[in-house]
Amino acid sequence: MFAGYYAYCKEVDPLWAVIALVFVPIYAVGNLVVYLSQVFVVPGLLDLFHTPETAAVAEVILGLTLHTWIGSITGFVNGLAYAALGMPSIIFGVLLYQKAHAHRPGGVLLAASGVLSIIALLGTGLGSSMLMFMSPVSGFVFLVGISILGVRFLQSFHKETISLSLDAAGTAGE
Amino acid sequence: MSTRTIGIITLFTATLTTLWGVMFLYTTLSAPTIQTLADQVSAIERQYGFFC
Repeated sequence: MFAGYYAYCKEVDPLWAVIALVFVPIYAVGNLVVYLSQVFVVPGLLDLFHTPETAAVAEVILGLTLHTWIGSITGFVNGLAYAALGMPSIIFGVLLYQKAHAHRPGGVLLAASGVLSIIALLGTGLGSSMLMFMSPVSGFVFLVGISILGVRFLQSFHKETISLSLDAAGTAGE
Repeated sequence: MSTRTIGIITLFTATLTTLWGVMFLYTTLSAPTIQTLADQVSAIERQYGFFC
């Protein structure tokens, strides 16, 4: 999706479009590490946690690896990954806003979701649960934003097609 | 890349994001919470007389 936005927005500002795209693999790697750790590491630790002999050690490691555990490393990396995703969201949101009037509502929401992701990371650093709650809010705003953008892109394609058909009919008429 | 392709990819991403959101809510609401884990520790502590 962001590669598509890059192709679409590079005419507006090629440098910022490239900068935005660079953040996407950073997000992908960060989130992949977090989610794979929850699938492959946490279940084993939970087993150890339920064994009295190893429970104390497992609790400490779980505190570091369990994504939902407040103050865990994976929770921080997850927030960091979403903050990294926030950068292309902000940049492409602004570029889409500048590129076409039709993409302004979606662009604003995309940029807003990026800002909220960064606020959520600050919340993780400050230990503020209210600011950390901005992460799911950011996800919701992101979803609404890209849904609007998706529909608007399809609508603009139909308008382009109709416009080309009318031009072709006009040329044939001449 | 045509705007139709970008639109389709964007809506596909929106669909995946929705599915992820539903799964996230489901696992968050159904998985044992930290409080539940803490309760389990307390129960083991009561049973065996050690821990923490």
